[in-house]
Amino acid sequence: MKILIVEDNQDLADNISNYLEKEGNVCSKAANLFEAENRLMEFEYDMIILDIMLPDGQGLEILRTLKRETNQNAGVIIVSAKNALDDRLLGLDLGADDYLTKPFHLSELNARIKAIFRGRKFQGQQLIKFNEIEIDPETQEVKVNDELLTLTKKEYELLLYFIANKNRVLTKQNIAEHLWGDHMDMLDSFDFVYQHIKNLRKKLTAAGSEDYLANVYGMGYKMKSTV
Amino acid sequence: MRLITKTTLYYLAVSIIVFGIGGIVTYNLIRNEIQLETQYQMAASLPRLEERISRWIDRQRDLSNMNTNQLWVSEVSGPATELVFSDTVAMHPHLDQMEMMRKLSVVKDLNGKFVRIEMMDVFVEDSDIYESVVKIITRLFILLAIALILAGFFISKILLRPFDETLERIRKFKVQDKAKMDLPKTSTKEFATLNQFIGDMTEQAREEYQALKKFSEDASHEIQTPLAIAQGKLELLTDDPNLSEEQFALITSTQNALKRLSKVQQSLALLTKIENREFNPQHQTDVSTLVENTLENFKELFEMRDLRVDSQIDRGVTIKLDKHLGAIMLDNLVHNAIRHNQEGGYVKIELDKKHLRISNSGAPPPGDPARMFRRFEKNGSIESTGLGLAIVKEICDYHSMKIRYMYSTDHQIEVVF
Repeated sequence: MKILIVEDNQDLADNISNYLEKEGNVCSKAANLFEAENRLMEFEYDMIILDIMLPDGQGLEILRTLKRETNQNAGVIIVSAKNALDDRLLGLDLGADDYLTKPFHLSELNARIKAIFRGRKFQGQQLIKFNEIEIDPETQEVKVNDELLTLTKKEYELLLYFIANKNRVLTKQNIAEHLWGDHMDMLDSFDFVYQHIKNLRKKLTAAGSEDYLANVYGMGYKMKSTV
Repeated sequence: MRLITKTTLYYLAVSIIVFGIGGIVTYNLIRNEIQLETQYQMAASLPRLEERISRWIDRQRDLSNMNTNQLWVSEVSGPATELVFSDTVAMHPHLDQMEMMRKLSVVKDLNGKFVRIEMMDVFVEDSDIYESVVKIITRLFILLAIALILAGFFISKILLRPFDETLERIRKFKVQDKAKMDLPKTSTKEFATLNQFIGDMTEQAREEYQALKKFSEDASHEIQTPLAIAQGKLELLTDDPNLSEEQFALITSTQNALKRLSKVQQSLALLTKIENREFNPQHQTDVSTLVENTLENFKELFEMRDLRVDSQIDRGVTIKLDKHLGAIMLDNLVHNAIRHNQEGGYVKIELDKKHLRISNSGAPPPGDPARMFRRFEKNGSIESTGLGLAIVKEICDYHSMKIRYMYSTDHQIEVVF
């Protein structure tokens, strides 16, 4: 995937490109509106990660340019420190696909990028394959060795999240935040994470899948692509 | 009391004093005038009487036949005197009763005889004068009062209109206003000065507010960005396969601390926004639906903590409430009811036109319940930001709703619309 990261903060842009390049993506960075627009004129991207507070203008301007002056078919994720509802709605109105408030987990950004990419590129009809596990994002059906598996909504989301961030350690905090958003600071939400993972693992292995989910020091989990 | 009412009352009070003194002066003037006039009349009729008496003396008639109720003529030995006036009481010729009269006495030398003439005339009584003066003064006063009140009413309408308009503008003024306050033009010097002053003051408040708003937005950005960087670096660090368990634990707890810092900052930013009144509290919000949606969102958490949910929600309860803030308020309240609960406990939610009550089982509160709504007030839990209920309180204050906490057999938080 070709990704353009429009972010004036060099450190943050590095973080994002570092993480995403490990996933096999090609990332370019633009530190301001001018650079971003130049790049958009020259190259084609699959995904744009857009900070809406830029030194030389509102990042939302790029959304307008994108629609008016280029024939890009890139997905756009807005990244902002402002949790302002108006910005969120305006951004989504102008054609952004998603909105993330700083600070965010890179694993969360990664999962969202993949979801948007799937949705745009294949109109959601692409099957996600992970060894013997197969997921149809449109019907939310999960099959192991062609056998249908019944998962709860949270277990399904969890599986998708793990596959999007395969071979990476996801902390319980990461997972809880992905599943429950702002309500994750519940005292014992980490126990629930454990419960959900336990159930998911049980269902997968019962259906004949390998046990890919590994516990890391009791604090995080990792989905290994090989056992 | 209105300014014009007060002014009118003061004017009337001054008028009472003026009219009182005026009454006394009028009374004395009229009394003296009448007395002088009576005396003058009597003195003027004296020459003709003297002629008549002289004739009677010439004809040798008995002078005592001349006497009436008001005239007394008698021969005396002399000598002649000047005119002397005095007050007396005599029979009134028509009224048949004793009345105050003015008496003239004089001894005259008429054709060689000394004759004492005593003449009396009805004198207008003091009490009559007094009554008349009081009547006149009272009527004048009533007339003046009516005129003053009417004039006051109309003058205040015209004179105070710019002032009333200024007041109305001030009442509607919000520091968040985008445009400068538009004040009415006036030719009254005092009001013009007032408008100038208010215009400058509100303009300054508006500018400072804008600067503060910009500052808190920038501050939010400036804090969240480094947090995001730190968070990202830590995440990249966890990718290192050679990480020891201790190192991993350190990273995780650092991440938790960063997350909490970010949450505190976001909550504070929200509190500032509420204090700055950046929402729409006039919005008609269907609270019934909002409560049901909130419960739906928390369904899983209820199940996971094995909490029984007991809801009595009246349909179609609509109140003036910002939709966004309403959702945050309900979120925080329900969140709170789950957090301070016990395994297998319950959460009870009642909603009707007048209030929203959320009760939950759980251990009694350790601290003073009154402090519960203060900022950074936590019940020993390090997980919480200590701002959830402070935000709820702020939202309630913003919408003029009352909130109270009670503990009898369970925790109860009640919001009165």
